[in-house]
Parts: sequence; structure tokens; C-alpha cells
Amino acid sequence: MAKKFEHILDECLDRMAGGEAIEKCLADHPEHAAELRPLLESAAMVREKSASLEPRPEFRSQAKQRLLAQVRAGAEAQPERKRFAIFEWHYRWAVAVAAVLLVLLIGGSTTVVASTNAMPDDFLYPVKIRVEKVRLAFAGSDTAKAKLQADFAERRAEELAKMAEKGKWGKVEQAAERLANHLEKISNIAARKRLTGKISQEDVARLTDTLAAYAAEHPMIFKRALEKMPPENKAIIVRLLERSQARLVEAVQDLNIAARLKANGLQSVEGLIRIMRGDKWLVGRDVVRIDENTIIEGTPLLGRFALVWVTKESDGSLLAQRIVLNVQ
Amino acid sequence: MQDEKNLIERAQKRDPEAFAQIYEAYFDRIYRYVAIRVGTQTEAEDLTQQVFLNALESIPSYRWKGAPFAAWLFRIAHNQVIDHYRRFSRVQMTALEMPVATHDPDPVDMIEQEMDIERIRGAIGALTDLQQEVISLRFVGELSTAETAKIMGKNEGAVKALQHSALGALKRALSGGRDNGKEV
Repeated sequence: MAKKFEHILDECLDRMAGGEAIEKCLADHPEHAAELRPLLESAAMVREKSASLEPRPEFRSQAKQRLLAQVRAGAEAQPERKRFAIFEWHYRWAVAVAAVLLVLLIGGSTTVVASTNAMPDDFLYPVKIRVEKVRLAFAGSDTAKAKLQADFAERRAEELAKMAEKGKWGKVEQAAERLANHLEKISNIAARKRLTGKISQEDVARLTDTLAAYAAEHPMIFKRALEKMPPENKAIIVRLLERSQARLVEAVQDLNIAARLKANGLQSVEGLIRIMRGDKWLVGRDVVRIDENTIIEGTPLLGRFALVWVTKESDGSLLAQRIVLNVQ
Repeated sequence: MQDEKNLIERAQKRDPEAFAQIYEAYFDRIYRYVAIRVGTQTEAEDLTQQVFLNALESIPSYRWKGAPFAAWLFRIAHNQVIDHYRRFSRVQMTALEMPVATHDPDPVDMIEQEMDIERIRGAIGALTDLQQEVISLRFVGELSTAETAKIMGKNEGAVKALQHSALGALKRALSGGRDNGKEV
């Protein structure tokens, strides 16, 4: 049976990836050569040109050092687990279950209370982190999770400052990394809220107050903490803290947008612009209508990512009020 | 394959040497895959770094069942790019800055390279989501059809068919055709 064209195309692409010239595969499939050639040339062009997208050597090296530092820090943080190597899976569950029990049944136990104040260089610190994860798992709503993440970010900031006082720079970096992750999670939750508008005004106020207080207080703490830091560690921490700060700003912006969406009864849709026909666009999976009042930020083109705030008309159609385009 | 399995098992036990090898094997490909999908060097660097940190966090849960590790790692990269799009849909990016390889000091060559990359990025951006994904994974990430199929949750036949339509649409987009082969 004759081979399907897409199989021949795939075979030629694999041969090209292995270093073979286009001509050789075309010669093997002369009946398809005319159709194959432009497709193979397009693939070759993408391969060749994208290969020039090389990471900066200094970034490559810094990222590697940072990753390996994380690996080592993680390995050092769990020496007691080695005894349980065979039962690693059971061990994790045992710790998780123990933490759940501690939190839910004997929340005021000495271990939990003591671990709450544990610093990254303390024996009980892994318990503290585990308890936090359990609390997050039981937090329920996204808003409750965001609030907890903000509380934990606050703790990481304190830990960062303490570890900097002690000159434990590896632990400072770990705290900065965790801090960035907490704020990243808040930012992701806020981004979802921005799209759906499903958040109460009270929750927005509460969260933005927490984040604003955090933003007002912590730059000074970090500045002091970093003063004594050796330059080789400093660049990484500064980058992490900048990332944290950016996420924080985004989260506050998103929460405010979410509140406005809610107040104005708007919904949002997002996705790549797939079709633009007259006053109707297909964005992601939704058709939205544009009228003379639609505010368009950026240049709309097929294939661009668009966030569209819409109102639902009486006939069920979506009328775009504002479109924000990711200009690429 | 056995070597990779061994490497991953060592990485799951937090062996720095194993991680270093994984990093060396995949870093450039992940960077390129991310960089072709986002607009700036800073974003590409942040996202690539985050992919490896996420991989470090998740690797204990990776189970070797014959599924390629590359597929697992690129899946993380894919999710990272999607999150990025969600987050950055709010931002007006006014200028592109994506320096390409810096080993060539000739500014004219560098500008030409940047223009080529922009042309390719624009052409890929004109494809459907699935077409973009298959092109990025196969020709930028340099993954096999089988690996691409795993990441996209499709069978190999479907990926080959999608690859065919994607290359057709890409060819039209690169040649400036208005028919960009949208398949909605």
C-alpha cells in the first residue's frame, strides 16, 4: 500500500534532522518532490534560524549554578530521609498525614507552634514548610489561598532577613526563591480573578491591603539584608526580589481590574485572534463583536493574543468593550 | 534510553552531577522553544530558568514508564509559556528586544538575524494554537514525532497530519500569503 504523504513528509523531516540533505529525500520520493520541497524548506528555515536563539553564556552559567545550588540545598535539607529511601513514598505520606493531624486535631501542639517560628537553619523548618502546604491544601477558595500565600511570603521575608544577619547566603537564596514562588502563586490567582471578575470587593480590599503593606515595608528590609552580601550571590537575589516585586505589582493591578470587572458586570475572554471578519472576531473559542465604542489597545493582527472584556447582549452575542493585545 | 533512565533516577535522588547533565542536554533546546514563543530576552531567560526550577521540584514525582523524559520537561515549558501568556496579556509590549547569538559581532548580520527571527516568529504566530505547538516542538525544540505526540496528548498519526497542515500554513505565512491556513 502506498505510504501516506504525511508519513513520507515525517520520514524526510527526520532524515533532515539527522543531517541529510533535502535533495536526497526528494530523490527517493520523486512523485512527491514538488509538494515536499516547500514544506521541507520551511521546516529547515525554522530549524536553522531558531538555532541562532542562543542563551547568553553568562545567563546559561548563572542559571546552572543556581539550579545546582538548589539541588545541593535540597539534598542537605533532607538527610534524615535517607533512612527511608526504600519507603520514600510512604515517608512523604506519613509526614503529610502527620502534618494534617497536627494542624486539624492538635493545632496548638508544641511541635506545630515551635515549627511556626523555625528558621531555615532550624531542625523543625521542614515541618513548618510542610504545615504550610497542608494549610494551603485545605484553604478552599482561591482568595483564601492567596491570603495564605501572602502570609507565607511575609514569613519568607523575615527568614531572608534573619539568614542575611547570620551571613547564611545559601539560605538567603532559598528564602528569596520561596518568596518569589509565593508571590508568583498570588499573581497567578489574581490573573485568574482578573479574567473572571469572581472576587468580592471585600476580598480585593483585604488582599490589596496585605500586599500594599508588604510592598511598603520590605524593600528596606531587603536592602539592609543585601548590604553585606558577597557580590557573587547578590545578582541572583536581586533578580529574584525584582521578580517578586514585579509579581506583586501585577497582582495588585489584577485584583483592582477584577474588582472593576465585577462592579461593571463585564466578563472577559482571551485567546489568539483566529479570524477577523468585518466587525466579528474569533478570539480563542469565542466570537466577539466590535463596534465604534470598542477600545482597542495595541495593533490587532491574526495570531496575536487578545484579552477582550465583553458585555453579553440580549441576543446572547458578546460585544467587546475593550481589547488588550499582546504586541509581538 | 537506559542511560537516561539511570540519569533521572540519580536526579530524583538529588545528585547534582545528574542534574548538571540534564541541564546540559536540554537547556539550549528549552531556551529556544521558550524564546520563539515570547517577545523579549528577559522573559525567555526568566521562563527557562523557571522551567528547570519547576523540573527540580517535580522530578521526584516523575515516573519512568517508557514515556520520554524530554516530553515531560517540554510539557513543563509549555505550561510555563501558557501561564506567561495569561499573565502578559495585561501588558502592552511596545518594543521587541530579543538579541540573537552574540558570537557574531557584525551588526548588519545581527540585525538580519533578528529580522529573520521576527519573520519566523510572526509566521508561527499566524498559525492555530496546535499548529504553533507542533512547529515549536518539532523544529525548535528538536523533538521526535513520538515525543511531540506525548506532549500534545495525541497519537503519532495525528501529529504527522497536524505537522503537514502546519508546515503548509507556515510556508504560506512565510511567503506573505494572506491565506494563513487557519483551521478553526
